[in-house]
Amino acid sequence: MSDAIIELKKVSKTYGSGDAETKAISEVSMTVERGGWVAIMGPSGHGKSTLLQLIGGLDRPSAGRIMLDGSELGTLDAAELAAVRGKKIGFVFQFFNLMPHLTALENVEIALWLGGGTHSNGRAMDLLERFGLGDKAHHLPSMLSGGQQQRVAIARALANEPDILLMDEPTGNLDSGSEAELLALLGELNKAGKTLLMVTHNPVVAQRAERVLQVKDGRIVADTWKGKH
Amino acid sequence: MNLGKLVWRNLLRRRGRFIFTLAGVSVGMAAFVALMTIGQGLKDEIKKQAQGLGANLVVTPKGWCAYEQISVLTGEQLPSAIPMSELAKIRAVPGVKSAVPHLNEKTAFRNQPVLVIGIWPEEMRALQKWGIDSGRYFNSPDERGIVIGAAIAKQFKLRPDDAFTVRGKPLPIIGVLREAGSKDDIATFIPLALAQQIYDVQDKVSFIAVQVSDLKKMEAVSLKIQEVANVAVVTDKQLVSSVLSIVGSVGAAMQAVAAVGVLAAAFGIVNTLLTAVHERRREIGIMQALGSTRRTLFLAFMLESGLYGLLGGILGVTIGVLAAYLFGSYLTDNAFTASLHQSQTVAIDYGTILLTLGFSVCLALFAGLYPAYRATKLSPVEAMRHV
Repeated sequence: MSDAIIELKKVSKTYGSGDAETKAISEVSMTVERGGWVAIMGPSGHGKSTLLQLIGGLDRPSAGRIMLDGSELGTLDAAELAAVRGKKIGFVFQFFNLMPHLTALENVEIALWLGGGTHSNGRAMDLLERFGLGDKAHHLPSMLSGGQQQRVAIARALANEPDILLMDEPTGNLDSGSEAELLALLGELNKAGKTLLMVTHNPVVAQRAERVLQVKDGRIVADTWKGKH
Repeated sequence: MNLGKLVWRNLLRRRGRFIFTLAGVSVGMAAFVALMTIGQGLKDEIKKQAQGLGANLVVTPKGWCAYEQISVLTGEQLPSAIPMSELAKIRAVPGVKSAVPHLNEKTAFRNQPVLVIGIWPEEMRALQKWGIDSGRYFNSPDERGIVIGAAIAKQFKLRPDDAFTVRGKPLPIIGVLREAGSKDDIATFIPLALAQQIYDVQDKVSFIAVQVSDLKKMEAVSLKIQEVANVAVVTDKQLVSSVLSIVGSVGAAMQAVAAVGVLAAAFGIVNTLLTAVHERRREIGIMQALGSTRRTLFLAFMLESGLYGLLGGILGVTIGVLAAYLFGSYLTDNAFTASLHQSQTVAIDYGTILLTLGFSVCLALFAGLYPAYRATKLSPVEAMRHV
């Protein structure tokens, strides 16, 4: 196996117990290469987001093992897992999930602080400028458009230079113009070596990835390679 | 961005809730500091008045309760019940350096009640070491005249040679005493014999202030006095403690009220922070996704809670001290404090202020424990599910 940055072995996630037990993910095994760009598609409620949360260490699997850049998440305690989330992973969400009472700049700075990296606060401004948001740095999220908010969210996700970006419907709340901008941005990041894993409903967005996984009933039912664009 | 900055921003997010919670803490702490301050001031004042009496032992009629003993310190009108014959016996007891009789009475002057105390001029002056502000002191033990306290002179704008009346009898003002900071300032003094004549209580006095020649033999002298005369004797310390037992019991009821206020303030903090945890559960999830440990989340809420305690404590101390000055005399309105200027019941010391601030912060931190714990128990996935 060549350089796998994400590796899942028979990972299952069940909620509830007894008769009420539901299996969100059942025995999923997969790998993602370093520098890859993978889209996860499938109907709502079939486990796509759960899969992303397990990989991101936001939740723990009921069974199976998840390896992330060489370390097994199951062996880490809460603080170590928090450190992995802060340093190795950047999250981007459908609803942007910015802190509503903090400015764009502070939203990036808080990631620098919480991720415990060694970057100076100047990096937050550099990132915003890089994404064309230099003049919006002191605006609250509510004063920004959806596209701008999502770019702040990506700047935040990149704050501690993670290797992996996990995105849950990153274009779900964007108009088509902003969507195209975001996809171009993701393309650049991928070229720069970031591993991208995104959940999406949108076939156009999935089209940009080099590989598409179809998830249904908590299982991977199709794995299509398209190769680099 | 750092913990302090985040907490400060969180604290001020809901201005209304911040202000009302802070007001709750401030009021609770204000009640606490006001009572501490007033109570302490009262104790200090009682001790000062007892010292002002200049006596080691106080001879009273038998069967006096603490309420009557207070009058010894305030100069309130008393049943005059010790016959002069007993006084002679007491003076004869070995170890008694001086025994000075007091007859506490009252008169109306320009429709205001004024204390009139019958004394032996020479013995009293030796006991009290009074200074004279203007005019002169009594020349003889039966001079027909009156010496008035500094506060009385000020209140009625009286000067030596002005006319004064006691129970309708005109008496010239001989002199004005120098301000002593005790109840002597708000009393007037006439020779004992004159007082007994005016008030028609021949051969009786209210109480007798006794000085002993050797403090070590105080107990023995006290017993001997009770043996030879049909009277009760208390030491100055007993007098203070029995007075404190009365004003102290008033204080306990008020302290309970303050405790309820402080407790309500603590619940206010718990309530506000639990609401905040609920409102911010999504952000708590985001922070965890960004790498926040549970420890950081816990500290953030504890710090927010602690700030409520600190700010509320500072405001509370300020309000409490002001309230103590403004309302101290009303809160401690009783037989003792009625005779004092209101500011005299208030004593501010830095110990009380620091104690209150420390107490406020500790209480707030304690109140923050449960909400902070709840914040750490949120799983990031659960937290972010709520859109």
